[in-house]
Amino acid sequence: MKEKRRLLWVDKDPSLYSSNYIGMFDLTKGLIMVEIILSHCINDYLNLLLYDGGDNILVQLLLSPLTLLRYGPVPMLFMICGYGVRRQRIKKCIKNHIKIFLFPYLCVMIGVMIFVFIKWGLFGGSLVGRLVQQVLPFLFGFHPGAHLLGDSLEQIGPVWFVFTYIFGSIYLNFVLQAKQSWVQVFILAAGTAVALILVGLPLPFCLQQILICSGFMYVGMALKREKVPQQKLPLYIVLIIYLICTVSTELGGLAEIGNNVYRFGGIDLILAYLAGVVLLCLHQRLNVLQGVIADGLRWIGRHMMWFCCVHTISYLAVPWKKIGAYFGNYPLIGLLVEILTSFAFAILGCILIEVGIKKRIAKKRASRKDIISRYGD
Amino acid sequence: MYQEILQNIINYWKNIIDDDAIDITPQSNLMDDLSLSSVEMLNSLLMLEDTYGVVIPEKSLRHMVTIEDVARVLTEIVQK
Repeated sequence: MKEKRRLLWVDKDPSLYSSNYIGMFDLTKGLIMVEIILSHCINDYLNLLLYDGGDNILVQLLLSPLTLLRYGPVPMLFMICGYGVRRQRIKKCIKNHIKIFLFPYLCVMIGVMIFVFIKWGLFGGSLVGRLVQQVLPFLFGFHPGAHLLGDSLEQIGPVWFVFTYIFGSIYLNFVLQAKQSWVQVFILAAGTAVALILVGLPLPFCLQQILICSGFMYVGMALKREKVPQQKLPLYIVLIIYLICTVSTELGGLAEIGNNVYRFGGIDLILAYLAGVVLLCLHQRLNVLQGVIADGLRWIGRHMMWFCCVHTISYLAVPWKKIGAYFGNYPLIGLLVEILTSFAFAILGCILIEVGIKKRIAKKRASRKDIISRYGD
Repeated sequence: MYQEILQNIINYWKNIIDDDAIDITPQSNLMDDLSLSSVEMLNSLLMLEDTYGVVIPEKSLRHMVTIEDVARVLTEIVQK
């Protein structure tokens, strides 16, 4: 008889927190990916839903318990990436990252370019101008919100994360060649300080983010060694860090790593580190959740890089603002349409990529078998 | 069966890691010793599923801590 599957239930299996295992962050990554897509969609409709947008007292009240989420998600994701960092030969490290990650990045760029053509066909305007505005940031890795020669460049969207991860891992691998830990920490801290000094400049190759986020990955390596996310953080530590983040937010502090904004400089960065660790530990407590919903989130988490790439295409290429104007009187319906379309696009993209990879693996296996049958092992 | 799967997995990951400094044994921990990235891990799982014509259930992942755990879980699934 087929087992009836429950939507959500709690599994108290102690093996969930006994060691580091593959897939231990799938639920956490899935939750963050959902949150990122939701925040992008809600942002497009915030001003239509509320007359005074983010300054609305209701929005402030709703957002006030979420101060950790304003500091922590990006550091948390890079800390998770730190679990996959190993010291290797520089040449091998560069080859590995270029082979695995640069191809999806270029696919995103080509996907966005195709949509630029479609948008040009539909709405007209200067094609060369549009291409330069859109492709330049991709080729040179300008972070979202960068200004060049007085002009605001189009952003590369959420895929800046992949770009920063590729080059951040290579940079971290350089740092790890130093044998002593204090030398590694010193180089990373110096790099972070330089990044904070250069924070306002439109530097290419997400340079500031690479210098800052490699520090998060290094912390991730330490968290793995000490198995910190498997342990329950004392409540008072969570509360203290939450309160500090809330006070800082109320005073105007903000750490937007994607946009290279640190209003209080180093203080915001320290808070980002703390909030990242706390968020990671809190999210890992949810690992007890099982069932259809939790499995769906884990699936999204496991395909996070592809999800991020496909979402970037839909986020940058689809003219959501113009579509939103059609729903001027019914912003909630518009919001729902954008959320559903974004998720459908991302999920479909991931399924197609997975099918493609499976076919490539099967083809490789078949050709290997063919060679062995012809010429022997 | 188990020994064959174990040897295949070790060879596969030796090829991925390609580093003489890392000793890959059946007791090697996938996260702590091999430090495979999530994409390497996902590709590995897809490769194993394709090689043995099985689907690795979500719940089995948490029991895959070392290489011999992966081989044991895979053997169980294949034999089912």
